[in-house]
Amino acid sequence: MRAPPTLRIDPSSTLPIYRQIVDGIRSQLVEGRLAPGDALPTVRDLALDLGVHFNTVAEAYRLLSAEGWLDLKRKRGAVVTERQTPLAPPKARERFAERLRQLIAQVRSEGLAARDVVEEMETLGRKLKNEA
Amino acid sequence: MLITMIAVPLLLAAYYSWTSKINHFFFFGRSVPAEFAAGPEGKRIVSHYWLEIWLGCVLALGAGSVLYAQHRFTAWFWAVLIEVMAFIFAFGEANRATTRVAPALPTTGAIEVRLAPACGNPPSMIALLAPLATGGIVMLIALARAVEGSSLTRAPQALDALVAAHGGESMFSFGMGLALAGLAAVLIRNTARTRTPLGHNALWNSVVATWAGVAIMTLAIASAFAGRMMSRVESKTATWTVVLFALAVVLFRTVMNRRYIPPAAEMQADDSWRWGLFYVNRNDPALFVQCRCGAGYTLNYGRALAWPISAMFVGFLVVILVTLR
Repeated sequence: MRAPPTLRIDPSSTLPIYRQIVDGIRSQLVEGRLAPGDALPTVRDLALDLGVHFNTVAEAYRLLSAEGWLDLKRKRGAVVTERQTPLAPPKARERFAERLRQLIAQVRSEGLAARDVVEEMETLGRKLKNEA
Repeated sequence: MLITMIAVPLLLAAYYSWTSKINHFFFFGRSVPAEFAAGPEGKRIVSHYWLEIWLGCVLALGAGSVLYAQHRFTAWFWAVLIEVMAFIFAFGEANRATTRVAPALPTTGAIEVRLAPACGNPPSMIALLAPLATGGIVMLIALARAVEGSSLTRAPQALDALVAAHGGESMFSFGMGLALAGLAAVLIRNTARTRTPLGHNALWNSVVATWAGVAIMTLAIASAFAGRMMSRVESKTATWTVVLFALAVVLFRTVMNRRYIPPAAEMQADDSWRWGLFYVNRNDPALFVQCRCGAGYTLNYGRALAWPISAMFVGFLVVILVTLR
């Protein structure tokens, strides 16, 4: 049985809340926890659940809709759509590697040990390999 | 009146004492480790709280008795008010004592909520508006009948006089008041975190109360238009039958959903609660939030709309007090 998809945000994080919502929902979509046809909570319900402004959630939904993940219907909330994986743009791999290096540098500067970073990356790598 | 004056403060004191036990997440409005609540400090705070609650009850009954002896019709009102103030004081004291001595519970600061499938959708607006619409239609039909032979502007008075003349005045007023609970439900549905078991329960209970009110109001109107005189016993029997049925449904639903689980956004918000009772958070869009004292909802006083709503409620109490004098 599929674990229920959840969204986690940290109000004290430096990352804007709407970005956390976009990243959180996108990871659920990519991992398959949210499937085409699933209905997400309405903007109002999710904003109330998270304790954030309605516009914050609306912006997140709009960004995901622009990426092709969601179909936004007025008063009926957001529905996950069937999305064709686009072709990776040129230099996508280089950009990914750069972002990964920046993320690793950030978490190491916050005190995370190198071996912990390696362990997490190996776990994620194994998971991706199983899905591929 | 004497029974109300004695029973209500006693029931309130028993309920307030019970709320300190049923809440497994917060200790007088604070997040604390479970071992603190069960330890000597926790038990000391609970004992002080119970003492203050029951002392307040004694004071309420004493003051009520003095006023009752002076033939004051509002004796019950003052007795209830004293007990409620005693609860606010006792809970606030317990909250402050807990804040001083309890170790802080480590929190992650993160808020995690479920997405799809939704954790249960709250009652739809149709379910909430149906009883209100039915009551509105019944009132319109009744006013249209009452206006016959009279001017439109005097229709409400004509209806009131007709119902009163047939012994159903108290039923009609009570039913209308209960039916107005539906308005509160509509407001809560749109402004509160209702995707929780308590939220669903509160809204469905409001639907039941609204239907009960519409039923009582309709009975009074129907009896009046049928030309039937209702005796005091009949009107009280009809009212209490509907009310007890509604209470049974509400109690059944409450017992079935008795596990109080607060929404994630409120679990980490200790600093937003004053005395553990009053929620103040300008960043939170919710107008109604679940009480930390065990059950029910309270206003978010960080939202501008909370203040006029509170003022309306206080004004309503003042009007009752003045009109009952």
